[in-house]
Amino acid sequence: MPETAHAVELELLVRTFLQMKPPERVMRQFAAILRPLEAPEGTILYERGAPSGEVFLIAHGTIASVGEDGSRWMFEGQSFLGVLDATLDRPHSRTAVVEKHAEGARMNLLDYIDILEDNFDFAKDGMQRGCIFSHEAMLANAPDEVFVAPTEDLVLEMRGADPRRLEMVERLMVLHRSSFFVRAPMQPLVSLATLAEEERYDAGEKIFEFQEPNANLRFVVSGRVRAERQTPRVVAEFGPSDLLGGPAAVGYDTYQYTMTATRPTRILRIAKEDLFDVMEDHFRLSGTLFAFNARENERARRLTSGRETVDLTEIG
Amino acid sequence: MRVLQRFIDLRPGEGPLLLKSALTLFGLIAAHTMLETARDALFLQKLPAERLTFVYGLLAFLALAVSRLNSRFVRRFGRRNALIFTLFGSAYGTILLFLLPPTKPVVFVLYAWSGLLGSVLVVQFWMFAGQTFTVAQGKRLFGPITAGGVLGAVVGASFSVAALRVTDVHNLLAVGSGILIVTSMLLTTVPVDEIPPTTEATPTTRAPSMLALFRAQPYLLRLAGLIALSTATLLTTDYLFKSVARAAHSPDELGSFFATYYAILNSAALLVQLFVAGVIVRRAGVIAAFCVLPMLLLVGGIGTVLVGGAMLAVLLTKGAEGSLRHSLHRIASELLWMPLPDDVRTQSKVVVDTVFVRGAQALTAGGLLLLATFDLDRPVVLGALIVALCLVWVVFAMGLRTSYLGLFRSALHRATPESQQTRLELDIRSVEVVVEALSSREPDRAIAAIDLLVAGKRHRLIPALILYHESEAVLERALPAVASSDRRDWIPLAERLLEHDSIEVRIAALRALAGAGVTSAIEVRLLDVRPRVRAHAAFWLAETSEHPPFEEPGVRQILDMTDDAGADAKIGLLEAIQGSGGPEWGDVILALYETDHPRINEAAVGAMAQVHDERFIPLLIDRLRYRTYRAEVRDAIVTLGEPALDALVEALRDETTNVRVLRHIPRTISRFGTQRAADILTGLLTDETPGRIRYKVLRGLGRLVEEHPVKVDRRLLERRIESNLVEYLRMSAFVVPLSTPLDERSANARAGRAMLVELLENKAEQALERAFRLLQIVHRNEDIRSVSYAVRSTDRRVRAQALEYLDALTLDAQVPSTRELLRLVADDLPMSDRIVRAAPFVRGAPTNEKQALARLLRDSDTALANLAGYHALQLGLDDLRADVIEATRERPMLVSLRNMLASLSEGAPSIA
Repeated sequence: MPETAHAVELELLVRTFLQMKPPERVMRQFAAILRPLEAPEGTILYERGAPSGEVFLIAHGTIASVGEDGSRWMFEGQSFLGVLDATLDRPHSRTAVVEKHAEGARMNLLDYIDILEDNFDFAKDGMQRGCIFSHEAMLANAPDEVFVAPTEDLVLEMRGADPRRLEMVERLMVLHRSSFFVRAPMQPLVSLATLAEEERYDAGEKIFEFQEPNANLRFVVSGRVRAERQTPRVVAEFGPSDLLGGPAAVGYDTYQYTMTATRPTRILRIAKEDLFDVMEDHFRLSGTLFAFNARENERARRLTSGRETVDLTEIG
Repeated sequence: MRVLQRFIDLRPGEGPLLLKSALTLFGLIAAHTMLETARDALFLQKLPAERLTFVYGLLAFLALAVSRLNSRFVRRFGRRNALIFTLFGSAYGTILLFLLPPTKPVVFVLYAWSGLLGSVLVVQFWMFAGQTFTVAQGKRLFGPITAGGVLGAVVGASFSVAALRVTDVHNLLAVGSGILIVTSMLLTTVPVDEIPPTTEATPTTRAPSMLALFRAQPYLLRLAGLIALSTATLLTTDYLFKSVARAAHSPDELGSFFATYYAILNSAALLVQLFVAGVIVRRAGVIAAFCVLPMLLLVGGIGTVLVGGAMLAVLLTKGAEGSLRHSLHRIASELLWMPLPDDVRTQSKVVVDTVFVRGAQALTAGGLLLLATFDLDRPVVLGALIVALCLVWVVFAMGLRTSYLGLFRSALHRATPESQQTRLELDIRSVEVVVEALSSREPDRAIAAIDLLVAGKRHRLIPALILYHESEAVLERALPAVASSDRRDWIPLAERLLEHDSIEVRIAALRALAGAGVTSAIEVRLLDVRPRVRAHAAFWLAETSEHPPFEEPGVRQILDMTDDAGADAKIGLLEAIQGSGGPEWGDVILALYETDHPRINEAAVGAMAQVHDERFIPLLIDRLRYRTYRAEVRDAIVTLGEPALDALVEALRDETTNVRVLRHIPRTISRFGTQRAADILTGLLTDETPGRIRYKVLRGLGRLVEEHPVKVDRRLLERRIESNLVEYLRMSAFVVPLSTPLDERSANARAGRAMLVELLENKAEQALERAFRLLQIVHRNEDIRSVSYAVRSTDRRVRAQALEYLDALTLDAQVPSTRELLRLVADDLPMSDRIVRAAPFVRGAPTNEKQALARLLRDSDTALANLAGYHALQLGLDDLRADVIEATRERPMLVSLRNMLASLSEGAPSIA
C-alpha cells in the first residue's frame, strides 16, 4: 500500500480505536509515533519472557495470546495487544502469535504515555472508559467474582474505638497500602492524603445507594462494607485498604452498587475531581490507574479463560 | 591512585584501563618520535628539502593503498588485536630498514615508512580508545591519555638528544623498534570489549560505501573536510619551519637542532596537556577547543607575514603547532568523532585519517612544490597561505556545532510525539481507503472517516448518501459535516431524517437544514412531541426574526416553563445557542444561567463558550473549576481577548479566588498564545507563586512556547533551571544517608523510612522534570524530552551522549552554573559521590540518618517534616524524639506530628 494510504489507514485505525472524537492535536501526535504493522499468519508479535514496551493496535486479523499453561486468549480486530505487560512494567507473560493475517499499527508505550500526559482530559476519558469496560466485562461474564473478597487480616485496623481523627501520615499510610495505589508515587499520595476527608459509619448504616450521583472515591480504613446490586445480582464485601466499588467507582458518574457498613467502619473519601487534578499534575499516578485497570482486565481474562464470553475488552 | 585522582577525574574501575591506554600511546609516540628524528636528520643529510614534496606525494599514494586494507583488517580482527599486530609489524619493518645501509633510496623509503606508521598506528590507537571509552569518559580521560603520548614524545626526543651525543642517529631506529614491541606486549593485557569480528562479510552485511556514508552523514563529510584542511595547514607550517631551519643551520647541526627543538616543543605540549587542555575542553566545549590551534596559527602566520619571515616568528608559529597538535588539538579531534554511530566510525575513521590526511598532504605537497618551482616558497608567502587556511579552518569548524549537536540529538531521539506533522495530502489510493471506510457498516469506522475528512477540511468528499446509514451515531456526525459545505445535494436526504425516531438525529437534521436556510424544517419541528426538539426549532425561528431573542414569544415561553419539560426545553435552547448562536443571545444565556438547575447551568456554560459577551468573563473564569466544558470555557475566554486576559491576571492576584479556579488560570492564559501571555506566565515563575500553581505555569508556558513564536526571558528561566537542579541534588542528598541498611533494633521503622525515602525521591524526580521542562522552553527546537529519558538510561553510552549533548547545548548559558549542575545530574557517578561534588551548591549535606532527619524536621515542606518526624519517633531514639518535640513547638504547621506525639505518649502508633 502506498505511504499516504498507509498513513490514512493508520489514522482511521486510531480514530476507530479511540471510539471518541479525539482532539486534533492528539491525532497529530499519534500519526507521528505509529508505525504500520502487517503480520502474516504465524508471525510472533512478542514472546513470553521478552521485554515489553511496544504495544500493538490490531485492525484486522486474529491473534492468539498463549500462556505458560497453554491457555489461549483469542483477539480479533480492534484489539490492543502487549499493553497489559507494558502497563504492569514486566516482561511479556504470554506469547502473541498471528493466527490469521493481521494488519494494524505498533508504537512504543512510552510514546503513548507521553501523548496521554500531554492531553490529560483525553487520557482521563480513556481511563474512565477502561474502568467501565473492565467492570462491565466482569458483570457480564463472572458476576460472582466482580470483586476480590477482602482478606481476614485487617492490616489497617485502627486501635480500638479510637475517637481521634486520622493524622496526615496515617491517611497517607492508608492510601499507600491500598491495592488501588500499588506502586503509586508518594508525592501525589501526600496531596491526596491532605485532601482526603474521614467518614465514619455505624454497622447497618448506608454509605450510598445504587444510581446516586458519584463524585467521590472511598477507601476503607477499618471495618467492613457490603456491596449489592440487582441486575445482574452481585453481593460483595469490602475491607480495609479496598476502594469501594473498584474500577466502577472511577469509571461511572453514578454509583453502581448500594454500599452498607456491616461493622463500625472508617472511610477516607477523596473527590474524584481532586484525584484527577492530582493526576494531571503527577501523571505517574495515572500509571497506577492504568495498572489497576490492566490487573482487572487480566483477572477477567483469567476467570473467563476457556469460557464463552461477552463484552470482554480486546486488551491483552 | 589518590595522588592521581587529584589531577584526574578518575572513577572507580577506570584506573587500570586509563594507565594501559596512556602507556600504549606513550610507547607508540616515543618510538615514533625517535624514528621521526632519525628520518628527518637522515633525509635532510642525504637529500635537499624540496624532495620532501615527493615523499609527501608517495605517502598519500601509500595511504590510499593501505586505508581500505587497514579498515578491513580492523573490522576482521577487532580494534585491539589490529593495533597489536600493527605494532609488531612496525617493529619488524623498522629493524629491516635499520639493517640496511642509509643510502638515498633507503632514506627515502625510511621517511615514507615512518610517516605511514605514524598515521596508521595513531589512527588504530584512537579507534581503540573511541570504542573503549564513552564520550563523557573521553572528555575526562583523553587528556591524561594524550598526556601519555606527549610524554612519549618528550621522552623520545630527549632520549634522541642524549643518544646522539654518544651514538649515530641511525641507531635510534633499533631503539624505536624495541619500544614498539614492548608496547604491543603491554596491549595484550587490555581486556577486549568489542563485538566479536565477523568472518567474511556477506553481500547482505557489506558495509555501505564511503560515498553512501558521506551522503547519509553530512557531519562526516564536514569532519573529513576539516581534518584535510587542518592537515594542509599543519603541513604548510611544518614546511615553513623546516625550510627556515635548513637555511639557518648547516646539515651537521640539523640533527641536534631538531632533537632539541622537538624536546622543547614536547615539553610545552606536556604542560599544555596537563594544565590547559582539559580545562579548555570542559569549559569551552569540543568545537571551541578544536578552534584554539588554528587561532594561534593564524596569529603566528600574520606575525610571519608582518616581520618578513623572521626565524623567531616562524619558531613561535611552529611552537603553537608543536605544543597543541598532540595535546589539545588531538583530544578535540578525537572527541569530534564521538557523536558518530560506532559502525560509521569504524568504517570511516581509517579512511579519513589516512586517505584524506594523506590526500591533503599530497595536494599540499604538490602546491608547495609548485611554489618552490617558481621560487615562491618564501616565508612571507607561506605565512600568508597559513593565514588563509586558518581562516577557512576556523569558519568551517564553527559551523560544525549545529551538526555536532544534531548527531547527539538523533542518537538520543526516541520518538516525535510533539512533532507537528502536517496534514496528509490525500492521493487517489488514500481517497479510496477513506471512501471505503465511509461505506463501512461499522459505525466507528465510518465516523472515523468522517472525522478524518472534516479535520482535513475535505467535507465535500463525504457523499450525501451517507445520510442513508443505519447508525444514529453516524447520522449525527455526518449531518453537520455535509451541511458545512456549500453544496445542496444532501438537503432532500436530511429532510427525511426530520422524522427519524432518534431525538438526536432529528435535532441534527433540523440544525443542518435550518442552518442552510430550509425554513420549512423549523415549522415541522415546532410541533415535535419532545420539548427539547421544539426548543431547537424555537431557536431557529428566533434567528429568522428581527426582534431580539429575549423578546421572542417562543423563547419567552421556554424561559417561563418551570416543570421537567421546561428543563428539557431550556437545555435544548441552550444546545441550539451553543451550536449556532451569536452575541444577541447573551441575555437569554444569563437568564438561564441563574436557574438553579445543574444541567441547565452546565448547558448555559456550553452556550457561553460559543457566544462572545464580556459579561460572561467572571462567570467563565469561575467555571474553570469544573472539568466539564473546561476546554470550551478556555476557548471562550481566549476569544474575549485582552479584557479576559486582564481579568485572569486580576483573578490570579485576588486572594479570594477559589484555589481550584486558580490552578487552571495559567493554562488558560497560555491559550492566548501572545507575547503578553508569555510574559505574564514567565513573571509567575518566581518563588512567590505557590508550587502547584508554578507547575501549571510551567506547563502552560511550555505549551505556549511550543505552539507560538514568542520570546522568553532566558536568564530568568535559567535561574529557575538552576534552582530546580539544586533542589534535585538537595533532595538526593537526604536519600543517601537514609538508604543505609537498618539495624535489627530499627527494623519496625522500615515502612516509615521507605515512605520518607520514596517521597524524597519523588521530589527529586519532580525537580528534575521541572528543570528539563524549563530547558525545553529555553531550547524550544530541541527534543529535551528524549534527553531527559537518556539521562535516566541504564546504558552508560546513552547517558554519556546525553551528558555531552547537554554540555554542548548549554555552552552559551546565561547562568553558567546550570551547565555544571546538569553535568552533575547526568553523571554516572554514584549519588553519594555526586553529592560530594555538589558541595558548592548543596551546602552541609547530611552525613548520617540522624542528621538527615533532624534537618528534614525543619524543612519547609510540611509533609516531609511530618514523615521525618514519624520515622524519627519510630526509631525510638531519645535525641531524635527531643528534636521532634522541639520542631513541633517551633512549627505550628506540624500539627499532625504533634497529635501523633500526644497519641504516642498513650501507647503505640495507631496504625501498625
